Amino acid sequence: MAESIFALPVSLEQIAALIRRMSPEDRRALVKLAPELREAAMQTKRTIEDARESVAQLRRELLQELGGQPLGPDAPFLEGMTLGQYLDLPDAERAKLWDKWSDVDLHELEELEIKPDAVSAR
Amino acid sequence: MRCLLDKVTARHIMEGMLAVVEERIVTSAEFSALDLYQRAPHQDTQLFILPHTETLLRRLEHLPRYNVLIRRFLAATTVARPTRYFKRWARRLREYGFTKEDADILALATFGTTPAISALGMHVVATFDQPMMNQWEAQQAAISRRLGYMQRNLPAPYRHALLPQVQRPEDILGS
Repeated sequence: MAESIFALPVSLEQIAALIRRMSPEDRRALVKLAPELREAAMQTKRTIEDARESVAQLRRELLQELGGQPLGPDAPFLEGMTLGQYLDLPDAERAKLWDKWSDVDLHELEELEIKPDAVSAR
Repeated sequence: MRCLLDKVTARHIMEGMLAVVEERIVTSAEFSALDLYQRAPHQDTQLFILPHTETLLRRLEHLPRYNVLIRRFLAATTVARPTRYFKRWARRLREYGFTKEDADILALATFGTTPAISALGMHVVATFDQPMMNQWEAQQAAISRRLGYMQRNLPAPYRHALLPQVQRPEDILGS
C-alpha cells in the first residue's frame, strides 16, 4: 500500500477509489487538468517484445515440466475429441463447449459470511 | 491487487498454454491473457477465477498429460466465492442492461471473497467483453449511486464494498 501523499491527508488508494466513482466526463476533465496522468500511462506501456519474452519463458517452463514432449494433437481431450480437434475449432465453437463444460449457477452457491475485518478492494 | 478473470479470459489462458506447448499460433487474445497470467505474481496481483473455470479444469484432471497445466493454473489462481448480498447486487445490476452472466461476474467482483473469507471484492475484472466494458463505463455513475443506496443499510464490511474496474487484460498491469 502506498503512503499518504505529502501535505494531503489521503492515500493514493483513496484518490483511486474517488476516481473510480467519477463519471466518464469527470474523468476526462481530470486528465485535462492533469495531463501528467496520460504521460505517465504512456510511459508505462509494455512493449510487445516484453510480452513475447514472457510467453516464451512460459513455453520453456511448461515443456520442461512435460519432460520436453508436447501433448500432441492426438492427446485425448473432452467428450471423445482429441486436443488437435478441439484446438482446430473456431473460437466461437470452443467458447460454446467451454460454456457447456463449465456450467455453474452462482446463485445456487452458498453466500459466505465474511469476517468483519475483511479487507475490501480499496 | 485482486483481479478476477472472467470465463473467456481464463479460457484464453488455458488455450494459450496448450497452443504454446503444441507450437501452434497464439492468438492476440491468448497472448494478452497469458501475459497477464505470467506477470501478475511479479506485480503483487492475485488472480481469481470463477467457480465455472474450476469445474471445467476438474473435468480435465483425469487426463494425466494435462495435469501439469491444470496444477500450474490452479496454483496461480484462487476460486472466488460469493458473499452475502451477492445475489441482491446481481439482481440490481441486471436492471442496468447486463446479461445474467455479466451481472453475476460483476456482482461477484464486489461481493466475492477468497476461500479464507479474509477479503471482500476485487479491484479489477479482466475481460475481452467490449459490450460489457462499454455498458459498465456508461452506467458507472448510476451504478455507483445504486450501490451506495443499498449499502446504507448493510453492516460492515459489506457497506465498504466497492465497484471493480472492468478492463482488458493488456490494460491491467503497468510495465
